[in-house]
Parts: sequence; structure tokens; C-alpha cells
Amino acid sequence: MSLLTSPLAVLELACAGLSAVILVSYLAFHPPLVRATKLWLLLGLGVFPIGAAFAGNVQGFEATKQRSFCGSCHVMALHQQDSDDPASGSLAARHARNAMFGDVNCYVCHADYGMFGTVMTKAGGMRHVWLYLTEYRNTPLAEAKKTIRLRAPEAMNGNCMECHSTRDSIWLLVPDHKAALDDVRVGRVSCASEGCHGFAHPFFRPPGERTSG
Amino acid sequence: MTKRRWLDAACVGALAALALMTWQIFDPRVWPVMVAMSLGQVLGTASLAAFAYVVVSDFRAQLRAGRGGIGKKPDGDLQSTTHEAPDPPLASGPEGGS
Repeated sequence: MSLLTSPLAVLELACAGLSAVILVSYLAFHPPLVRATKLWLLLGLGVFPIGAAFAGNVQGFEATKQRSFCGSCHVMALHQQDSDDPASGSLAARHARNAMFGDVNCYVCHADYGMFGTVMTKAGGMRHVWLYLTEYRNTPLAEAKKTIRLRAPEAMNGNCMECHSTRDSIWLLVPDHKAALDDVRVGRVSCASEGCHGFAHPFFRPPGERTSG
Repeated sequence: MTKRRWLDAACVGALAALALMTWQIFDPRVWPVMVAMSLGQVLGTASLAAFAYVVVSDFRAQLRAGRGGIGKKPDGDLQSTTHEAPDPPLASGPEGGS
């Protein structure tokens, strides 16, 4: 809980508290609806709730980036446990131990980038919610871990290349990198695959489907 | 529904919206966050719209009263209803001012 460290949470609580005081006072005393009452109600129904909504939405967006939030859906439990495990050697866990990724490593690796990256990622996340509610809610974890897959695995290299640009001279010194450069850049060869850097997460699918993490 | 009831409903709706929006701060899991960012927003917006409806309709009644020469309070609030406005008077103070 980050109540004391998040100014947004404090702002939301302050706005909500002030608004609640005004609204409860109005409901309790029912003053004549004169101009002053209308102004107070404008604060209680408009200004403060809008402030609370703004702070709450930003705070909510931040909350949805947390690994614990991603792990709220049971089909993600194994992925979350793996990232939480300090002894795990998976790509996801190793990145989670990096301060640049930390508790938001799911989001950092799976987010869309660009000017509207957060909004587009969250809009896409609504599709996950829909699929979870309609298809995966009652799927046993044992079954889910074999069937869960990336929607667009070829696009994942782009996210890796946000940090590992493939243009660095040291990176290009690795013979495998140099040999597969074009394939890596267009996503034909996944960075997170057998023979390269290994799967990003624990992998349970049959060998024939072992194409990407 | 009278304007007073509209306002009561707006206040109750806004309180519910604020409760939902505050819930996500203390419990940032999937459902609290999603409910806060959907139902909470809708309730809050509807409450503000109800308040705006009351204010605008009150203002229109005030204009009608002004045209008809029916008692108008110093701050612009209606003291009595017009023929077109069946709602009870909203201001009951002796002067109606703040």
C-alpha cells in the first residue's frame, strides 16, 4: 500500500473527503437552494469529484501496471510466481530483478510504446478482461498453462528492442546476433525462444509449439 | 420527481461514486480498479448531470417568472412556482440570499 507515498492517493482522498462532507451536510440539513447552496453543491458534485476522479484514474492506471495486478487473474499466477522468485532464471524473472522493470516488469515488456502507449495498452487490456470473463474464468490452471499464448508473438521483439536496439557494436559482436539480425528485427526469430535467450516465462506447451515465450 | 429529489439522488449517487473511487486506493486489484474507472465514473457523471439539470431548469423557471412578473427573489432564485413549473419552491429562506 502506497497511500503515504503517493500524492495522487492523498489528493484523491482529500477531494473525496471534502466532497463527502458537503454532500452529507446537504442531505442532513437540506438548506434552501439559494445561490450559496448551489455553489457549495457545485463544489461537492462537480469540482471535488472531478479532482478525485482525475487523481483516482491516474492512480488506477498506475495500479494496473503492477505485477500483482496482472497476477490477479488466476491464469497469470504461474507467471507472477516466476517473476517473484528471486532464484528463477527466466527472462521475466531476471528483468524483474532489474530496477528499471521491478514490480512493473509485466507492463514494461508487454506495453505499447509511443505517445499514447499507456492508453492503447490499457484499451487492449480490456480485451484481456473480456476474454477472461468469457473464456478463461473457469479454465483450470493446469489447462490454461498449456494453452495460454501471445496474441502477436512476432511483435514482442519490438519491445525487447526498445532497450536492446540491435544496433550496438557490442551486441553485433555476438555471431548469432549478426547472423539473425534481419530475422530478429522483423520478428521471424524471437529473442525469447529456445536456442536464443530462452522463454520469457515458464513454458508448458508441447515441443511443436515451442516458438516463443 | 421534484428538483429536491433530483438533488438528493445526485448527492447519494456522488457519494456512492466517491466510495467506489476511493475503494480502489485501498484495494488496487482488478475488480475495485475496474469498477472505480467504469461504474464510479458513470455514477459521478450522472450525479453532476442531475445537478446541472436542476440548476438549468431552475434558471429557466426564473426566466419564465421574470417574464410573467411573478415574485422573484433578490439573488435570482424563485420564491414561488409558475404555472408551468409544478415543482415546489426550492428556496425557502426569508430573503433567499446567501
